[in-house]
Amino acid sequence: MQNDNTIDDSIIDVSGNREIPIDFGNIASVPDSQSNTYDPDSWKIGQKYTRKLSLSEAQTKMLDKMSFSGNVFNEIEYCKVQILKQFIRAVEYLFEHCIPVNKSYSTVVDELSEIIVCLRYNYRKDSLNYNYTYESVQTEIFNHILKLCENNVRDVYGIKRKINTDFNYNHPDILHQYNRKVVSKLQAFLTENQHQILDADYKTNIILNENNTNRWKTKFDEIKEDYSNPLAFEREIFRLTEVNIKNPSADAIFFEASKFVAEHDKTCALKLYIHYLDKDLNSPKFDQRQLNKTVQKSLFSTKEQLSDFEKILSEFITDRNLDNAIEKANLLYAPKRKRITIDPEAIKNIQALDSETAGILGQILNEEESEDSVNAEEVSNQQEVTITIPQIQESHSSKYLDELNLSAIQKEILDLFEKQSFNILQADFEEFIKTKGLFMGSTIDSINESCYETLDDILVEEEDEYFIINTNYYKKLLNND
Amino acid sequence: MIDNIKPKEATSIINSLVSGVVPKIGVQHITVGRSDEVNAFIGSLEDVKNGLSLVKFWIGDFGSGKSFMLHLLNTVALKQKFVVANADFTPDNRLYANDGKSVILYSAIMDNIAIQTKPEGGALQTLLEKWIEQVISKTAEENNIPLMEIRNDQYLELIQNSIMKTMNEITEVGGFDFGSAIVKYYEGYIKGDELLRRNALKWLKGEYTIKTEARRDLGIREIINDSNYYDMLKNFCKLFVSMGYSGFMINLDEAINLYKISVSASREKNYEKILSIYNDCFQGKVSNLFINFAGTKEFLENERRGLFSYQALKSRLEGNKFETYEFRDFAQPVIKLMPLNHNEIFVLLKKLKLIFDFNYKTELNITDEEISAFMEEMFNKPGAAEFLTPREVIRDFLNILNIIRQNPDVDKGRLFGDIEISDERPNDLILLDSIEEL
Repeated sequence: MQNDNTIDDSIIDVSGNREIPIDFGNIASVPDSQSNTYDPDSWKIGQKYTRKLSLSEAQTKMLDKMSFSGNVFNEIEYCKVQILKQFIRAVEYLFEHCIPVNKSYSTVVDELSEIIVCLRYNYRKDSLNYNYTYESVQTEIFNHILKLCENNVRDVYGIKRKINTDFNYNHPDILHQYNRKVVSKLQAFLTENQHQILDADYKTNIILNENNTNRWKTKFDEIKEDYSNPLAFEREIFRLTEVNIKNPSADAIFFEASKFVAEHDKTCALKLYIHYLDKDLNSPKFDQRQLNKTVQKSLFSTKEQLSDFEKILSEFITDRNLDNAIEKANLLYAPKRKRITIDPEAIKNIQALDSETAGILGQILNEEESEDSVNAEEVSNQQEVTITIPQIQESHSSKYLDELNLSAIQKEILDLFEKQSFNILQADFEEFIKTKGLFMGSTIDSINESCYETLDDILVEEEDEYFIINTNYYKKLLNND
Repeated sequence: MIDNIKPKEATSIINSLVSGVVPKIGVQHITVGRSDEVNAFIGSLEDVKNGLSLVKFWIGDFGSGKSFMLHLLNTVALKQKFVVANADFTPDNRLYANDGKSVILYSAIMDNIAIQTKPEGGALQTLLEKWIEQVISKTAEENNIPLMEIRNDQYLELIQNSIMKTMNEITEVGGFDFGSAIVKYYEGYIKGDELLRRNALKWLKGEYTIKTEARRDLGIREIINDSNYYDMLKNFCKLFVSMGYSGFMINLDEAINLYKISVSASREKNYEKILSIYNDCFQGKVSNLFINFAGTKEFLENERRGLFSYQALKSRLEGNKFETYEFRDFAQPVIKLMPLNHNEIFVLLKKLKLIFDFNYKTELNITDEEISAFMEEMFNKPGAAEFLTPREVIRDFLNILNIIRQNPDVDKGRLFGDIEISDERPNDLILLDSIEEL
């Protein structure tokens, strides 16, 4: 084959992906097609794609001789183009890197064609039969390579079903040689160069997904593997469902996504489940698949949450208002604002009870005592003792309130406080009280007890080393007559 | 307006509650929602006054109002002529020990002895002197000796004998040493020996740790120790009653510290002590003694470490199975403090607003709806479910009232929005389950 491809030197390709025409070596090996004024060969692959793929003349000729065994996949234009591009790259690789060792053939394809014609047909070289068969075998080899490339593209596009790539010639020697010289080399090449196949575009994906209802699973696994946050996950799931718009199993994407994300983000899981239900409702058969118990447990920690979600779903099934349902799901885990309901009847009862209790306590805490608290008469066990502080009968009216029943010594002490500006050093007071034959603590306490009911507080207090009396309290003890 | 509230009560209530503590006076005005509990303890105090002895367990979670209830109980008991002592359980004290930790508890109780005229505690000396005064008067009367002369040295022995005789009549275990200490106190007073008086007091407070020291200082062979302190408490109870007091009330808070004792045998011994006190009181072996324990639900009900881990206590303290939230039984030894419901908190806040107005002689414009809105805001704050306590609600409410009082044009809604709920529980409450079991 001869490579007649001319390159415009004025254009410098810096892309690195320059289409390099295939050098088919001896041009004679590819029979010429008839020259024509009108083009009856326009249906042929080469003719059809010569412009689209910027094919060289030799590439066009070669492709013209080939045929696609049509199927759902390669009839998708975008896929066909990708198959042909990969094919051209593969052939180019064979022609450039797989030169037979003995150098008598321009390419490995020529060598193999020779082997096949000899071993399978046993034609004499250069006979008519030989030449004819040689060309058809060569076309068969290229067609087989084309099939391998199609499977390669199918692989990239996540199509699990592959076309049959059994080679027509099953003679062990032929197969051995063919596998060794072409298939093994091509397999390595195709695996390494898968990245050169362009990703399926939006339209193509839609068609592919329509025809391969489980194709989304591969992409879904990738999305799961790349999970980083619920927002990104949700975005990817929506993209996936968009290209599965004609896929009757599209609802399953949302369902599975909801299941998966439940352990990462509850709200996201709920929203995706609602989307599943939306798709399900629009499908011919309403399945209403339930999330399994484990997922439900992780989603709903309280019965209230579960019933709230069920309510959202039933409302959605009724009104089909997707936005509304999503909005409610968004709020399901938000802390519920507790409403304080004040029950006027309960308030009345509480106030009545409280008033009663405060009254009882008030009575206890404010009751007037008729007797000295530590009156021996109260002692039940007959341990009758009375503190009889010597009292001096006063003929004149006391300056202190009569109801205080202050003893003479108590009055004397209060007078002492008054003289000392209501501050007495404890040590001094003790000296004074000793002269009276009394204990300091009990005497102070007896004064405080006597005045407590009137003041509702303690009269004589300790402050550092002093006993002090609040002057306002003192005034309250005085007769104002 | 609130009935019978005094200005100083209003001031005490507002100032204390703003600081997050129970007010010293006027506490009867803020007992909203605790009517049943109040009635229950008023009845209990009446029973103790009449010679019964009781043990009550005040059980509630952090912030449920245990300390408030004990404080109220104190206030009422003091007013009813009880001698009252409060002490907290700590890691360093307990009911049963053999390394001095029980005496530490006893000393804390004796340090905190309070009477109406000495409500802040430290009333032991006063009480002793009062009792001696009584004995002196009685002796003077019986022997026809003038009161002014009876304190002379020549009658010292007579008084000493009277003290010992009276002490022997009213006390049981350890009465002799107990009486001897009081005699020494009197001797110190008569002879002007301050050190002798102080040592006698030191002995009575359980502050002697070495017998020889007590013998050297006072001539008393025994000292108050881990094994006899409870008998001494009973002796004091009898002494107080003989003086005319209604009874002796001991409040022991923070009982969770018993739960936290990591050595199970030691913990069990403490529960055994509770059982013996419980049995003493309810079997009438002691009169006019009222002991209150305050602790959390965990302290009571935990089957592994709480009181319920001790079968004999569990059978005595298990709740009335017919009791419900609606129908309570306050006659039980265990009183569970239920959290205040929204209506009760509403009434309390409303009441506080009135007290606040009364205290500051103002008339703040806060409607019932705004109080309700404030509550709603509080209960919807992050963390409210876990940490919100009445103390915080009250404190924040009063703080807001203070702001409004000083800035009448302030936006109340914004004030409510600024509230933050924080976890005010002590750390050790949160880490209870991490206590190592030994």
